[in-house]
Amino acid sequence: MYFKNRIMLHRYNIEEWAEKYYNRQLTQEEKAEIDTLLEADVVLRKEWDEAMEVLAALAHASDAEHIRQALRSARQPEKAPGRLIAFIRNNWKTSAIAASFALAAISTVQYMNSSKEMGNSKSKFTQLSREVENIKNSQNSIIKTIEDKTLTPKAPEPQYDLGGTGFALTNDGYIATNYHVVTGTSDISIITQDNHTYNAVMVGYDAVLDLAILKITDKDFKFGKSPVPYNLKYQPSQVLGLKVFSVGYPQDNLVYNEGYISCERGYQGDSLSYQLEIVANPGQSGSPVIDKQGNVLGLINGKKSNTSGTTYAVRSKALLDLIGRLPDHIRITPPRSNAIARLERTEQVSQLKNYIVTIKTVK
Amino acid sequence: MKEEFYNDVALLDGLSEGDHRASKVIYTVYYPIISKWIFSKGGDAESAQDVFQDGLIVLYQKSKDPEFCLTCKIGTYLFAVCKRLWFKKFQQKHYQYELPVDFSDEEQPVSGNLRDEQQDVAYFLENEHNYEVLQRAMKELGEPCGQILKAFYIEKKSMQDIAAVHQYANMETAKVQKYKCLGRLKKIYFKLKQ
Repeated sequence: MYFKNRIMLHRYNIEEWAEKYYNRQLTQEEKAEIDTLLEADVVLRKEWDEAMEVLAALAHASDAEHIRQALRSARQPEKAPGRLIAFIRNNWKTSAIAASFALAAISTVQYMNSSKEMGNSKSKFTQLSREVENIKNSQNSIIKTIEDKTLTPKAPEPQYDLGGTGFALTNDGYIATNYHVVTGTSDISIITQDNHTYNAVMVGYDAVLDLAILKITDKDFKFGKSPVPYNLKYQPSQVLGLKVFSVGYPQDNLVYNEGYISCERGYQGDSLSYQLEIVANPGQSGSPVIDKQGNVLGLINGKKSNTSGTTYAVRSKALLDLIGRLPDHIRITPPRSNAIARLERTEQVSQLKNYIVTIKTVK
Repeated sequence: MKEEFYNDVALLDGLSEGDHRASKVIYTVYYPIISKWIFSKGGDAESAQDVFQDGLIVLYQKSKDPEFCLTCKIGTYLFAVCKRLWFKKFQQKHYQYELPVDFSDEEQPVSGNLRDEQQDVAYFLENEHNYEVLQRAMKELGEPCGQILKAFYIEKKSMQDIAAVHQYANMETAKVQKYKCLGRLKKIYFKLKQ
């Protein structure tokens, strides 16, 4: 290789070139030229390697200082509440669930995307998002990961499309769903009842509560001509035994289910969710739980894996809390309509269906 | 600067850009989990903070690498790195005798890029060792060289500011001085390292 020898590398300017090299400020040609020069000169090579080591140590010092400062400020209490979107409550019981989101391997609460019952009698919590393309494969691989802990390291998991359900918070495209439906995904698509697909982004979430709020990015988007027809702000004092129904997308078509609230507290006594007896299938994560007057009481988020009907739902109160903590530029007025309060069930569902959507994600 | 962190990728971007809010989210979400694990291994709050801090430095350095692409979740990577750091660095300090550590269990395949983590941690520990030598070399270097190098390389101040503070005629003079200082630092550093 021939060089015009523009670079005069010697022991008095070697630091300068080393720094440019280290900071990736050189062109390909300059880099090649330096490499050639260094190959020819052992003394220079040694000086060069030493300069690089000192630069690396200095860069390390800088990084360490930056992170030390960042952590110092992270340990301080929040000055302006509502700025951050990841809200974590200091609650050990629920943070066990948070732990499982991050590190499924160390918790008994399992992270699943399919409905296949576990073969053991231990009661577990199964999240109900749906793997759309290849349910069987995904089941096998997930169950394998859970049972076979001595697996050897393998290539990254193949990409799966996951799905869930969401429901409208405002007519202009804010949607509530479960955090586990959209966590770790790069691309969120919303499919409405009339089979149109829209892009959406996550604008807020709470990993502990398993809630996420999405926004359809299309500015002109409307769910329907009228405002959202249900009431999110209703908090009944007596819920045990309350008859409820749910609509969601465990498959490509909307599915209706009904049941009742069987316990005022959710999984392991979680006070921000309910336990229901209702049929729920993968893909129904994020479906609204509605009473006969059209009040949304919560969102389905998981089920007990050794039973057929025991399901859990995050309470609407938790969702309202999350909405209240969003940054100021996100304006969500929770729906408060009694438009479907007096209708027949079939009419209610027909009015609702425009406001219930499928969520598909790509990891 | 981003307003929100939608997912791990956005969080990693925020971290690499030096956004303190990204570090805060990572700290809030993962510190409780990692510290709990360290407590379960007999560590105290101080060593938990240290391990987490080191783990975050590793993640930060990786986040700035344009070739780095996280094939697992941030939490998985960070936890694997912290575990490794704990075993490598802290455990021996806390135990008078060494318990048989079953690495095959502790380091089970939490992710596919286990070897990367191993290398990342090894690289970090090497740099950290060099950093200790560097600190001693800086002390021996004296002023104003120490201040100039610290301002430029660690505090990331501009050459203009440095020239102004140290009353150099112009930026070029300051620059020449800085490289001279770096050359001297290098000599002291390798003298100490021998």
